[in-house]
Amino acid sequence: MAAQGRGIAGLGFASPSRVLRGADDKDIDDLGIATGLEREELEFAKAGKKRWDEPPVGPFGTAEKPAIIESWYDERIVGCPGGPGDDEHDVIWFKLKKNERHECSICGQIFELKCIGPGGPPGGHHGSHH
Amino acid sequence: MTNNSCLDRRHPYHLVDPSPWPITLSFASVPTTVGGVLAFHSIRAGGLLLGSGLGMLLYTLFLWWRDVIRESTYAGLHSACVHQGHRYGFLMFIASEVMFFIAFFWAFFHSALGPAVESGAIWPPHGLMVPDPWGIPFLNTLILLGSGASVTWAHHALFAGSEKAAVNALAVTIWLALLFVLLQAMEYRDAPFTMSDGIYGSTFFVATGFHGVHVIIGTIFLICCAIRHYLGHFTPTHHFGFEAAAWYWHFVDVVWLFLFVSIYWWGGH
Repeated sequence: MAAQGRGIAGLGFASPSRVLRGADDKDIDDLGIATGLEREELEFAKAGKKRWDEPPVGPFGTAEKPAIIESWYDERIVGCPGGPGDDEHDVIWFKLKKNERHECSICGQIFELKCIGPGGPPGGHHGSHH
Repeated sequence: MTNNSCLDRRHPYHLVDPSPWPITLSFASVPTTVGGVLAFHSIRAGGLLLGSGLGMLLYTLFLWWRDVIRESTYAGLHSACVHQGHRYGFLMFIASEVMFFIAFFWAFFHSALGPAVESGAIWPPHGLMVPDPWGIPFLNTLILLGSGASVTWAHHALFAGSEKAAVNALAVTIWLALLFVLLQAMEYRDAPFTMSDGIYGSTFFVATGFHGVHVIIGTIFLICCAIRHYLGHFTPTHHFGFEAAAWYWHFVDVVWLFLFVSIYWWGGH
């Protein structure tokens, strides 16, 4: 049974987390009332993993060891900032497609796409949302 | 709703679903402003138009913020990144409010530092019975400072997971806020001068009047936080709605301190 108490406000006061999630104690863990994406983010962080995509980082891509860019779909927009230190240049944007390596026109860095998701066109299949 | 809850959602941002509230708010602003202007010129329809405009405005704000609560607490769409964006956004909003008040302080100092010869080249102008700063205004200063302390107490209670202490502290804050509004209303009712009494009256009532409106807004915000806390929306690590209310409350307190020192104390006898 939820604890009751009377504060200065004169309100009967049940423990808020119980009010929201129901009186069953086993529903409440250390993530509290977090739900949906917020909860997924916290659960991934607890497991030491990242929930969201982050900008790819890695050593300068060459023909022997290209820079691997992970993508959920079969193509992704990528920006090349150049090499380390003085080899930096203004970001050059391009579309990197599956099975097609791309060479930066300024610094020659080589990129290759690695599909880690369902593939297909970016944004998912059209006409099937909702 | 767009696909949010499975691993296809790769980004942490919240792309809000289409909503009618922004355009409803702009439509509601029209009778509010037009009605306000008509009312100031004592045209009868003005009051009705202003009232209905304000009603539409307030209802739209209620619906809009209700949706924000649904999206955040009930749907969990406010990731850490979204939360961070809200923090920066609200701070920038407070900065814009600071600029708003700077305008009225500028107007006050422009006239008070170089008083016109028509009002005796002194400030306050000759003949005006100005409020004694060490009466109700000083009491109001202590009330707001105390409420700043109690809202901080509420925040610490939230961090510590002491839910009942947080409710009590919020209740203290709200009672103090209401007391301020009541005392200021009494001062307005009993003031021996009005807004039409020259530049002193104008600067006094515009500056303290807008401050009073902000206190009322802050009080409503705190009441909403108290209700949300009672409903269990706030956790020790995620309670930005409360933090925003507390920041706004501290801002209102600081503005009052400037008002007290500049207009009541320095600007008085």
